[in-house]
Amino acid sequence: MTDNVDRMLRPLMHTSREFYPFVAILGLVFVVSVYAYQQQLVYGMGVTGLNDVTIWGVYIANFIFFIGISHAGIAVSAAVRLLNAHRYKPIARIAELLTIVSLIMAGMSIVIDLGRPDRAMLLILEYANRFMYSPLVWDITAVATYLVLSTTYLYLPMRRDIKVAMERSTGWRARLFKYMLPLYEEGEEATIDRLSFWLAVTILPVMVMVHTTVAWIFSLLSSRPLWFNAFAGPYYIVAAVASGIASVMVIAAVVRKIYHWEDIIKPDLFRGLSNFTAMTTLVYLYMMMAEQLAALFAGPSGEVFVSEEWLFGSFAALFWLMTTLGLVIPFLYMLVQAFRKDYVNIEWTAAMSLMLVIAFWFKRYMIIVPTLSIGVQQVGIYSPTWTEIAILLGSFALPLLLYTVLTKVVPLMELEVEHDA
Amino acid sequence: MSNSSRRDFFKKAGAAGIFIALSNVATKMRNVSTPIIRNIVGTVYPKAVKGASFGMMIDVGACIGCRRCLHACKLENNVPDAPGNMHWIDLFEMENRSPVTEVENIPPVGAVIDYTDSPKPDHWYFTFNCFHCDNPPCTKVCPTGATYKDEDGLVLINYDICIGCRYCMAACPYNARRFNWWNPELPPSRVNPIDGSVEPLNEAVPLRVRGVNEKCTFCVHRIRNGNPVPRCVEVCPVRARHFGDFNDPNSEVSRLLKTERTLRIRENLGTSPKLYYFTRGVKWSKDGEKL
Repeated sequence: MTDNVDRMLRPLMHTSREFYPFVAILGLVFVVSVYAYQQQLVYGMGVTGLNDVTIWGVYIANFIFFIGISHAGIAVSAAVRLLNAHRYKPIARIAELLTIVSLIMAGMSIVIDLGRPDRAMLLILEYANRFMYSPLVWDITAVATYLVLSTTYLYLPMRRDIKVAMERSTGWRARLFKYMLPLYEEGEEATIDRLSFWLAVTILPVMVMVHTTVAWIFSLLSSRPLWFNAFAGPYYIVAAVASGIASVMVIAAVVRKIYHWEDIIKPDLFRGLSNFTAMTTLVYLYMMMAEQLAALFAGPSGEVFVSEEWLFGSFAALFWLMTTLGLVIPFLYMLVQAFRKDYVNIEWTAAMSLMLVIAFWFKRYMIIVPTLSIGVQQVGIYSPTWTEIAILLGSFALPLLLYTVLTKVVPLMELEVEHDA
Repeated sequence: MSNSSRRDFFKKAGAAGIFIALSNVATKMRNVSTPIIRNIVGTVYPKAVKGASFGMMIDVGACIGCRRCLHACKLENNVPDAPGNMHWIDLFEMENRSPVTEVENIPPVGAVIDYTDSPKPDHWYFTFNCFHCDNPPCTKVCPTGATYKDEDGLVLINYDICIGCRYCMAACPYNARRFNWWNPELPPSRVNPIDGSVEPLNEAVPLRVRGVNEKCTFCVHRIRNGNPVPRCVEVCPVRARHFGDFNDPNSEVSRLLKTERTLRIRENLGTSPKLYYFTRGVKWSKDGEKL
């Protein structure tokens, strides 16, 4: 028994030799992206490929992407708590960490996109005046609420695991864990359990709200073809859930391999997640088809222009690659796997999930750029510059870096799993 | 934490919550169109004429596509040439029978089009600037209230609290807004390429900085200081542009609105723009000569 707890706490107590070069590479990419952002600060947004017609590009695509990823964590762990789905408990905290890291990245993506980041504080100072009007302010409200709630939700049940870690460590680690455990009281676990249950109840609607308000940022602009859509909320939520669960599968597979948790994170669990992802991907494909049909059949000029850009125009290669390689093939793989009894290939499932996640990033790019390439009597031609690509790479390196470092501070596995087993 | 100190904590937290709620109510009770910050910092425009509703009417039949309005506007409003060649007025050469929403064969942003040989036979000229909508989509979405509709119907931008999120540009159905992608470069005086006149920077117009949004203001510094018309209306050689107060029944635009057959573009979006188009027939011959 104690042996198992030690194994679960191993990432906190030991750092393997591969950890340092991995962190160094991620850090290097991040430093390059900081340099690129410094260029953007010094010379202005002109260093990006954006122009007065295509006003948003990869940063906003990134923003929607990270908001989407952030859904998975709490979805998994709230489901564990509310539906008593105990078999998903081993990945609950892995998923919650992913939520918090990607929410931070979503907020950063918005700030990176601002022309005057030095005035970002005005978003808070003017909040009381603007929150009845601007969908962007609604979204900031929702994301901030979600970040606070999910951080609390991560931290409260973690206290008992920190307690165990503290008891089992010495030296600077013990002191660190002591700082992470302020105001600890004997027997607080029962209170925390009740709190966490109600937090989970609160978080689920907030989670729906977050992605709906993200959709509203775009779908309430009546002049933008394919954005202006009453059902943008559900459309975005399905994408968020599919991409989020897929990224949880990727990370869970990697963590399982690295820490040799094969017997704790069971294949059965991947099977359940992959079935669910296949289902949501199918719903998403269906929604995409419905959207394109409405645009092409009814045929308002703006919708037809954007839809033809997607299907046959300058974005066609990207669109078809994304749809077939990134959505249809992973969906088919997961579907076939679902029909085979008691079989799951974790490596392949993780690879397919990764493809799904990448495809959903490009889908977000496709949402933003083609719609914004049409203006009154003007066409905007946009392609990302090296600055944008460097910042983009940095925005993928930073969450990985944060995640990797957090695994050394935060118990990655709820120790209760051990009692359940 | 002991029980009593926990109760104490909740008391304090509750008091803080009530304080925040009250301050929200207090700010809401002020006029919502005047955000708090604008009283502290902010671009200062002359005081609005109460009860007015300024608008413009463009005679597309008269317009010869000379671009005098475009260049005069740039000099009047300190709109930078470099980098990016920003202009607040757009002017497109349209073939006959091409609808306004035509999206094929149209030049990309920044393409140089030669208008020196205009007017061309079988063409017409489609020109617009900010439409100063009565129900502007851009002001609704602004997260800081930097862009707002003033009491005389002008849609203006407070350059000092614009955070450059470009949400207003996404919301604008007319592509009337411009973003300062780079540091705007403005020499002390500039030459108008149309007539060769040299004009210094206009001190009445505030300079913009990198990373903020700007657009046509209907020359707010002129029309609120007694000058009846914006610069583009003043320089138009064929009187294609007309400007005035729609709420004043004796103004030129009110009379035109009564007598002419007018059209507003993309009116179905419910923006009710204050820029009308009309025509009294083509004012130049088929060979491009003025009649």
